[in-house]
Amino acid sequence: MGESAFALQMNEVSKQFPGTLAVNKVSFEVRPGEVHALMGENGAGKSTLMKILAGSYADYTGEILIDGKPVQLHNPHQAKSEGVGMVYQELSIAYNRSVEENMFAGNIPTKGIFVDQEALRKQALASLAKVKLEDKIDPGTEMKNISQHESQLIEMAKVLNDNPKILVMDEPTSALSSTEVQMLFDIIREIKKQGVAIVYISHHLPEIFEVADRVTVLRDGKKIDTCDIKDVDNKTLVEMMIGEKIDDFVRSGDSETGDVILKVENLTHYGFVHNISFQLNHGEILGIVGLAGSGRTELGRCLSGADKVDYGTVILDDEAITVKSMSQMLEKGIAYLSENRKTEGLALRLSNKNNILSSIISRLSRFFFFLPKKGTPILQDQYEKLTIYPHDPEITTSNLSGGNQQKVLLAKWLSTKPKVLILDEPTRGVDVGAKKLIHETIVKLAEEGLSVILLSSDLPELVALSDRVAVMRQGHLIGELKKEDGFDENKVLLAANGERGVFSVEY
Amino acid sequence: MSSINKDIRKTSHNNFTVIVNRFGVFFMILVLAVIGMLVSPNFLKASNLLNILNAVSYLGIVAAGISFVIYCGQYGDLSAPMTMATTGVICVEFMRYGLWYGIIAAMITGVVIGLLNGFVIGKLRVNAIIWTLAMNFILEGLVRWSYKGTQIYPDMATEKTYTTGFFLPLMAKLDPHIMELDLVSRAAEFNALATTYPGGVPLVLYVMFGVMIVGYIIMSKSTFGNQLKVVGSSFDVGKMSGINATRTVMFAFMMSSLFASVAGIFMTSLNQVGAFYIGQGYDFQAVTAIILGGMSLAGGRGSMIGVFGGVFTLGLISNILTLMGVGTFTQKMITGAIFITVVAVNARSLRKLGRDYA
Amino acid sequence: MPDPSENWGVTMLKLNRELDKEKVLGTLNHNRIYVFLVIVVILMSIGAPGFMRSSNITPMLKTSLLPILVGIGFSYVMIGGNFDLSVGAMINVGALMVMGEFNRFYAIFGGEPAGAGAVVGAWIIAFLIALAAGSFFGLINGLLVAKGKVHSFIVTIGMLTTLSGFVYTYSKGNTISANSYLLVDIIEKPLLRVPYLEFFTMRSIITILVLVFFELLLVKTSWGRGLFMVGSNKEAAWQAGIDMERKLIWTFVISGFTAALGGILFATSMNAAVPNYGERGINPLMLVLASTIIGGTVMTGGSGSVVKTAVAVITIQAIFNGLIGMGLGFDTQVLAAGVLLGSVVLYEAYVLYKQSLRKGERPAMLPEAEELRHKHRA
Repeated sequence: MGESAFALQMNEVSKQFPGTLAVNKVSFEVRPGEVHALMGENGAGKSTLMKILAGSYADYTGEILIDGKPVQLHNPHQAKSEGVGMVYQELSIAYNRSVEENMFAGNIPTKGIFVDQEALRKQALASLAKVKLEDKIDPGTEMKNISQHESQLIEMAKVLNDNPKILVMDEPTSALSSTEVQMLFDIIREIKKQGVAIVYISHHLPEIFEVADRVTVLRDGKKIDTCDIKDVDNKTLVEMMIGEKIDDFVRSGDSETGDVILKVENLTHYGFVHNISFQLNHGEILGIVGLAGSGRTELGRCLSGADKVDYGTVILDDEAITVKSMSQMLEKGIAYLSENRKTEGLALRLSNKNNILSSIISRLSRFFFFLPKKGTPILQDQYEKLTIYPHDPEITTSNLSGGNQQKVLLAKWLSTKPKVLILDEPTRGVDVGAKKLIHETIVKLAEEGLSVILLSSDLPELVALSDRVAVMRQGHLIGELKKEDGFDENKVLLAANGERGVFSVEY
Repeated sequence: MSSINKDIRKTSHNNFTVIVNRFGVFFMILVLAVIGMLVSPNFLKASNLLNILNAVSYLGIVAAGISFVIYCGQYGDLSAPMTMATTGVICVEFMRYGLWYGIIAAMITGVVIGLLNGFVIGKLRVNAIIWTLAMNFILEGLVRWSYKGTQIYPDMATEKTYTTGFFLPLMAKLDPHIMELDLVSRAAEFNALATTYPGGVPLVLYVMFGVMIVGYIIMSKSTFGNQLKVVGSSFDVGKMSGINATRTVMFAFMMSSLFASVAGIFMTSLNQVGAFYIGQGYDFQAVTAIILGGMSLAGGRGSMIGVFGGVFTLGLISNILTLMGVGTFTQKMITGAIFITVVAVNARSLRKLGRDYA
Repeated sequence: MPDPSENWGVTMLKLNRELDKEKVLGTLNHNRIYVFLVIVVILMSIGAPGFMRSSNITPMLKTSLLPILVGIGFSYVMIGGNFDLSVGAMINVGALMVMGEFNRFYAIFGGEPAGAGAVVGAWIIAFLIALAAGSFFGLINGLLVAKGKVHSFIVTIGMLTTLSGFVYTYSKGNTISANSYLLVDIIEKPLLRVPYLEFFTMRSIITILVLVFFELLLVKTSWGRGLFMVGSNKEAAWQAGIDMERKLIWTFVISGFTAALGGILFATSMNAAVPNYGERGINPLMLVLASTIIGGTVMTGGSGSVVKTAVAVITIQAIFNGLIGMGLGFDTQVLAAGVLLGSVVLYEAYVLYKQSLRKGERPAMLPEAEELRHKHRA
């Protein structure tokens, strides 16, 4: 054992989904005691690759070697027993159970027939020590009383209990403050010293430079290159990630924007977003960037009336509005496309027609009756504009591809004829073609006078589409970048990370 | 793109499931009808068919209401039995002023109960089974407590009525003339509700069809019904589509209790007595009928036509078993077993198609 | 604008203080049923004369025995995240079958002339058959829920209908009494003729033993801890390699078993079983549902204790009993039980609702939120 120089080798690994080759003959190696960053844009194949490692797919092709030994990772238990430990972005926690039970759920120590509570406590403390929480957390505490940051560390400790050879971490810092990130990095360095190979998935450049030893960049399912972190800088990495893309969408010409349509003053939802003020012009696309957990989505939800607004005013077309409900805001002309297509956006079990018309049921009604016929021209219009495939509104939405589902979702909100359209991750999980079409549609609509607020973590998208980019950080709008001052992905990313030097306007 | 073939295949499957879902119950009716004809030559006679319908008319009214709740993705309304009993009692109390007073008071009571259920479930997101069960017990307690466990007869002697009732002693105080009302003829009018046969068909059967048609229109054609469909398929999607999801859930429960109150009025009239036990068992039977009728427990799928099919199926099973000489209790057992089997098979076939289960 | 994360230390301090408060309240809420019981007992001792007398307490505790047994299985099922609405019918299955099968085998073994041996043999066989029947119907419930993936509500409603038909068919609608009084004399005879200890009979001791067994299974064994995980978060349980389906099936088997056992002991203590027990009087389903929820089992599963359910049963019985002592009738009991159940469900739901409103809140922003709140109010 351990003869191989590599803890993990992947040789020409591929994974096919209906319609797309999500991972295309990717090969890379991870050395023991190395932090190996896996980078790429959304949809580059990072998460598929990670799921292959986790044993989520039984039908990947190619060869995976752990410690030089070929292994099959066809289900999660195989993956675990081969020494792959996963720390997911979405933690799966039993909230009303204790820390120790969550950590040792599968193999609680027993003495005779009963649980050995003392041994469990001891094991839990020992395990917590690996993530430096032994003094801070009583293992008997229920998980619901543990903060997000600590939950994540506990999840890590849980994974470390199995003594993994490879630890895969998916965007582990997305919900952490800068102090917490430093604490996490200290722990990662500690684990590294013990010879564990760490695959670190992220697109936060500064973090990669701080913690990673080598980096592999993926683009469109293919590996671009693996380099030592010393040999690359921000610029080269971004270039590798973005590349010369055929579908790269650049907004033609400088868009004219009109008068102010939306003015937001001191919008506040206590504990979520505080004192948000900004203006939006007719036909303008305002990008809002912020790391995960910065309050980006929460801002969208407040503006659209989906969440409570505690304080502040929204002035739309010179009319001051007290935000009360989503139906009210829809009526006034603010629509919000949710980032969670499957849980909040579309009722997947209904037909496309039902979904597209779901936000205008009352508008298509007379007296008491819903008149779906009145929606037919709207449907046709949207189907043509967005080329939704297959061209049959009666098909159940769950049978569509991700890209077409997203088009249906966009159609749903466009059918409300909004004045301001808030798009939260409008191209998450869609294929290149659909992405391009959605981008073109957004720009066309803006040229026709629609004002768009674009909340996105897809930097190229944000940079290509936006007239202005406002930056959110920890629930506040901290500044903005103007197009005339020139912005690129790098600058936007730095801004999102709180680098104040790059701002055109600082709030 | 290479996904074209896959899409088409899935779509055809899809239509097949839809057909099975929507019309499976009518296939079952067909089979039962054949069995019925084999069992007894009297089966197909108009009088027997009318009997079948008459026997399930109360159930039909209740099921039409509860189907709104299930369509709304909320499992069921277990407060229906006590809603029936409570509204029946209220009807008896107020009918002394006139039959319509009683009916309207009962229906208002139904609406209030339903709105309360809907608020708790739609706003606080309590599990519908637990809450409606609790509501059922609360109502049972209220009715029993109000009447000290006694029953209330429409033609009860004046003196006694005005001392044992709940609202009536109050009303008697406010309006002493109430004692002089002609209770006997009022009671006769009320009791006749369940025994009137306009055109040779029981009134309650007309009411059932009326309720089902109204229910069908509301569920499938109205603004509310279409919002209900979205909320039923996914509460969060409904909420994030600018639909007032809480209000929609309240509406669904209101329909359930309103229809239960209609059934309660007739049931009370049939029994000629208002009591807490009126309506017992109707909740479970109604859910059985609705699920047999192809409505998905996951919400947003199914229709009132299927509900009618489910109700009719239960009537047929009971009728055939009676014709075969099977006792009531064994019938109950067989119905239960058929229900479990149908649901299990249905869940299995849907899952094979990669769809959600019942 | 200051970066809120700079106030990190202060935030953590404040948070810690808040957490402590929450912890105390949490512990109190966890053990609320004991507090509840004490309050009820004190109130009833004051309000209802003779409440604390042995002659009052003993029958009160005895009435609790059946719902305590049924509550065990019901709590297990609920901890697994499901419902078992068929418990009422399961009680009748146990009660009627133990009586019916006893009579059948007693006759086969020769009846009275055959002496005590026939009685004992027939009772043993009858007990086993009745328990097996309850467990078997529970198993069917479990298989349909865990393997068939049908919602437990639907499955158990179907089972309820089927079984209530079955018990009537089995008993032909009649009350069944055992043709021997030997067992009833043993099972209900107080072991000690001492006030307050009269409660201890064979029946109550069996109940207590079963209760302790299932509490230990739940809390002290890794099997039970695994069940908690399954009920709390299926995904997490799956990742930990816990066999979810099998656990859920077991919860329904246990529910069938304990409900049938409750019915068996109840019937043997009276030497009679009726097919419509639970259709008259206070519905056992309501009593058990109320007790389970009041006892602190989380409605969505993952947390709970059968002992607390049992204490809740006793608490509710104490309320009933006290109400009678205060001269209020049976109808008031029903109302009180309903209102109690309703309030507890509402309370639990309201707490969850309030929590859901704060979901996703950033702790680091809370101090500032507090400041803003003050400012905005002014």
